[in-house]
Amino acid sequence: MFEPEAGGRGGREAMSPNTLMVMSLFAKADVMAAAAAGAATAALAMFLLTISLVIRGAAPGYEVGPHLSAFMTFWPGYSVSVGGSVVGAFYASLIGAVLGFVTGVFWNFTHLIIIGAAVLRGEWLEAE
Amino acid sequence: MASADITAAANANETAFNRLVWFNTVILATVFGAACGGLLLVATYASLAVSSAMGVEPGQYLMLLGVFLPGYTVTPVGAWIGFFWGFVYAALSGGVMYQIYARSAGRDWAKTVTFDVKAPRSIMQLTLILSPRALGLAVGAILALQVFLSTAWLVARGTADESVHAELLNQYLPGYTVSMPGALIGAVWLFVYGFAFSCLFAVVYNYVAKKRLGGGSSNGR
Repeated sequence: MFEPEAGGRGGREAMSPNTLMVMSLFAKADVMAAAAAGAATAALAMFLLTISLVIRGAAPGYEVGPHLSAFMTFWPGYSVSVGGSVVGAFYASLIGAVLGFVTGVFWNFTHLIIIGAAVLRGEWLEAE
Repeated sequence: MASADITAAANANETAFNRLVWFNTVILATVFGAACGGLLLVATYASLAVSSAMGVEPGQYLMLLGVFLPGYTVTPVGAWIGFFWGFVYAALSGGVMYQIYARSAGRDWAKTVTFDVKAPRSIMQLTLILSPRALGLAVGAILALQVFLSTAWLVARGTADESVHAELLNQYLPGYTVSMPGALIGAVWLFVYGFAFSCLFAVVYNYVAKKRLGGGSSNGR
């Protein structure tokens, strides 16, 4: 389809715009990068959600963050506290990593199927 | 090249672009739907298991989702109803999100990928690079729309005054109330949060992706 030049940087300049458009829309996702980004984003979000309630506090006699506290059901060790915010960030990072990983894998798998089908169809047409 | 040929080529390119974007939309919608539906299914069963072990009522807060997900309850059957609605809800959101992303990311294709020269085939040499601005716009818009529609639903069904749980969103969304003006304020705040966290996601993704490719080729992101 194209010949990468030395160093690999010249390859995209040799592509036609249409080819580059198709390959860009079907480019593979970096699964590990997606997992890392998902983990980082989810961890930060959960940490900020928890710590903001801890800083804000609650009126005397009222529980801080009764809704967030429900996560204790699923995340052993989590609580609406400074330490709990770190624990929650850890658990959230695991979920974010898994979601990012699964999204990337499924994205690449489905695109690979379509690209493979297109390549095979092209080869069959050439053979005819 | 004659002007008619140029127009035909441009139309063909636009048609190809639209078809590719719709294909990717279906993929992302399916992934989001399966993930959200699956999470709700697992959460419901986990709540049932924990409450059974502790002898307490299950899903004290999960059951509030029944306000938005018709038929959902914290029961084994309700868990699958929740999977269905979670799938539909997340698939729609994911699909709209990708449409916004693809159509706002621009057509400078060289900036949307980086090259892996070690890949065995030319098709596999391109690795996706995200546009932080486009992703932030897409996610922020979806989150804003969701909080607006959710609040509007509570107002429309006449339970705004009883929605004490939704009212607690003002802890994170200053000025939010379960009312139409509050819905707009909440939408603005969630757009800002969604934009910021999505930019973070894209920046981290792009950094890790390029690092794993040994620096990759410069492409402006």
